[in-house]
Amino acid sequence: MMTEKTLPQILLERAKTNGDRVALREKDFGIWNEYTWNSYLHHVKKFALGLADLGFVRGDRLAIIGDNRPEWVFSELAVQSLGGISVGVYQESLPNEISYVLNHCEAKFVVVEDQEQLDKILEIEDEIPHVKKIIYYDPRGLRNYQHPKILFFEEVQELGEKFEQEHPAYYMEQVEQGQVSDIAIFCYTSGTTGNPKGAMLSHANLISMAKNLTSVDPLEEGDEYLSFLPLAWIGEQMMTICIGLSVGITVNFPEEPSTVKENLREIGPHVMFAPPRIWEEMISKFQVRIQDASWFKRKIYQWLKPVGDRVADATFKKKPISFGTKLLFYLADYLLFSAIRDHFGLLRLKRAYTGGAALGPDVFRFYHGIGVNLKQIYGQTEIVGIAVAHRDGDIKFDSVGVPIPQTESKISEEGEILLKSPSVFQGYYKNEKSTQETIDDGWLRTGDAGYIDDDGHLYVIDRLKDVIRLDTGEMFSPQFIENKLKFSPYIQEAVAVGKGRPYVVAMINIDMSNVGRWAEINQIAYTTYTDLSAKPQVLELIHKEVARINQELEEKARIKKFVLLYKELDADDEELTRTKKVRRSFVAEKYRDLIEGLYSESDEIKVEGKIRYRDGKEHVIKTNLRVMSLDGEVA
Amino acid sequence: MPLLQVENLSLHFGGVAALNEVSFHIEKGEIFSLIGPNGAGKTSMLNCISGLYHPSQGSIIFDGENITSMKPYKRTKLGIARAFQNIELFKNMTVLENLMLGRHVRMKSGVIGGGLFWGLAQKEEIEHRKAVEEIIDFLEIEHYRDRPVGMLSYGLQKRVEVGRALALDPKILLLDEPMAGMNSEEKEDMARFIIDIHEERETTIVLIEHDMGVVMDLSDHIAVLDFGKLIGFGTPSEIQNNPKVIEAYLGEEQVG
Repeated sequence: MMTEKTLPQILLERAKTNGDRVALREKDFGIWNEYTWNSYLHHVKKFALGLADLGFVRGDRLAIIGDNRPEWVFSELAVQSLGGISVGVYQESLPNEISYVLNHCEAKFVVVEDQEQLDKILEIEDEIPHVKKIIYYDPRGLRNYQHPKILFFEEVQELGEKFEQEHPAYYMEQVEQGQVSDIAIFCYTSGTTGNPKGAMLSHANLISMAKNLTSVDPLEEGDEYLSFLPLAWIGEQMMTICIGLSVGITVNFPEEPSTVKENLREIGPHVMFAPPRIWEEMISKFQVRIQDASWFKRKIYQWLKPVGDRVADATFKKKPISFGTKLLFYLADYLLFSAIRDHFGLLRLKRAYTGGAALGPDVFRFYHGIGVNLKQIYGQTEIVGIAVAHRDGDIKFDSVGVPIPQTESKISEEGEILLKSPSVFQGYYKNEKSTQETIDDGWLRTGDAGYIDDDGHLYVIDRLKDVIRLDTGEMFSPQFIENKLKFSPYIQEAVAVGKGRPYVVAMINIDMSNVGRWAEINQIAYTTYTDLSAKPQVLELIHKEVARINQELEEKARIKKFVLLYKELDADDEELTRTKKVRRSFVAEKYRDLIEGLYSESDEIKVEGKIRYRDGKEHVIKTNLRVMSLDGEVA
Repeated sequence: MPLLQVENLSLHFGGVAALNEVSFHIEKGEIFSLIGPNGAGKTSMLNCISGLYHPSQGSIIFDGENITSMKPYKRTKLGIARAFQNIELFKNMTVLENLMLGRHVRMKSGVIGGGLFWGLAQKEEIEHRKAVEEIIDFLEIEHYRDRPVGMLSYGLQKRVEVGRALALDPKILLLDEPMAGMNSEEKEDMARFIIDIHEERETTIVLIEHDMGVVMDLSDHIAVLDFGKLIGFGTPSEIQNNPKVIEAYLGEEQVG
């Protein structure tokens, strides 16, 4: 089922057949403004021709940095219309990170959102000689900027209008010249080690993913979707661009990153894809709210939630549900679950995906228990984000599902997961060595350890290099332990260590808002994060949480000792990737003394750490961390 | 002609002179700061301009009109808006409602029309909502649109307070210590908003502020009050070099 159309060709077709239907929506000044397929095309065309006027030719690269806005998507499609390649850059990236990507892909143009992003580009202007023009789309605060390279988005579109008068057929010619084998995007993987690598993805790669996924999980034209995760991330490209165009769903852009929660509720999307962090955050907030709810509401919740969990468990195990339980479930859904879903904006959801990392079984049970069809998917940037997914009604919460159509999976002798599909990428840009290491005879080497069960479900253990091998030779995942920990509302982030060690230890970040709230209720005064996580009462609180969680873990995987870190792990300190995954090897190196301390006899570890602020100021922290031990705990 | 002219203004409370024959003028389109030690009469001066106090002597000319004894709401209609030092918002109403209320003087429909929300009232509401949404966008408070003001942090309340004043579409905006009690990040934000209000909305701004760094950076002109008397008036560099000001207010050390 290969497709013969490029993304801009699909856009043309949508405008032709369904021109007046709503394609995009953006909230601005408190109102949802709509763009039909016709106006979508119109904007793309004007911008594309403007770029052509400025000298953009087939094969050129354009980088985009900004929050999710229609202009982001217009820029991408405009570039692809001209046979160019769009490169998304995470909006939180620091100037030196941006400089690396822009130079690596030799971007000729950069589209930025606003003053904040523009300032970052101007800061590294000398390092990026390839960049000819910098185009911004939010003019706020920029009226006094005088710079020969800077242009306003609408100015480029005006150039495009003039260009069209002189070359009326140019746009159509360019779009028709497009081949599905052309590279559509470079997607820089935020990799947990080394410099990011630019995965080259073709139109055929992108569209076959959308076709294959929607053939098992159908969506309808006009279904609603809220685009709020970085468009530089493959997952958001999948939904907003690939499925957006190939199915014709309506893509909504939130007013501001801070208003996503409200906007989610206003839109009530039919489909969602988010990393575990988002689903975990939702539950944490919910748990806090339920604790604050009135006595009566709490009772109702405590009475009915187990009904949902029972039904969810029965569905997972594919066991029959008794009539009485079913009846009770409908009642619970009517009284409680539908209200919870409505509160989160999940009421109309046909299905929701989680991917990027493992999601704890408790989180799965929670969402299925309130009637949200949450499914795990598995994939990588190198295979357009998805290759394996749960099917509706066939969910095992510890598996990642079965391959989507046209996709094969197998396990290599070392236990590595290999994948093959029409979506396997075209290689890393300017990195033949990594490409050869990653693609082996058409199979994508994922670098993940895993196994396949008798039903064909794929299980992911962890990164091959991270897995802890127990004495029995069984592989064990530190991530699994971390996810268990992170399910506690008081724990934000955790790093479990144990490879080649006698026992498992953990470094834990408390959840500042939830622990802060707990401290307020318990009348514990605190100032900063560092101060709060050093409070004996807080240590005691987390100790209790860890002890509880330990009981759910296998004997070997139990946490023997832990410390509360004096700072939050932060992407700016390179401890997390831009997608907020822990960079394990980096963290292990950075906190080596701390980890050594956890394997020594001492119950206090002296640490000296740097805290770097956004403005580049550094502050040295010297403190003693107390080691909490769970030895001799009755399991 | 200056936008606002204060001539020989005096204000007495019993025997105490809060302001003593103060004269200065504010040009259209500038950022003007009033500085001075505590109790120098800065807030009293703003109160005279906005109409809360009635001066015992002297006159205030705004846009060619003598407003010395005009009622406050009439001054508001002329285009004088004020953000108070101690936030004066309706704590139980949402941000949006507070801002809409700020536009009250610009609304024309009567009790009946407004009550029925019909005809002119409806059209007007949409227009005013638009104006308010622009302010919400401007001050980056979209996230808090429907939150009761009383539940917001102090810094945010201050921002809403400025927004409420801004909702009047004023020609001149009086800001009484908009940065008091803020942390440095909030201060930076507020300074940026003030510059943006001034440049994008072309509003003349009168600022009372204790943070000398901010005052010297932002102001076109500065007036210095001490014990109700004007002891200095001029550009920031003139003020920094004015020996009277240095002695009375800034101290012996030079301020940079």
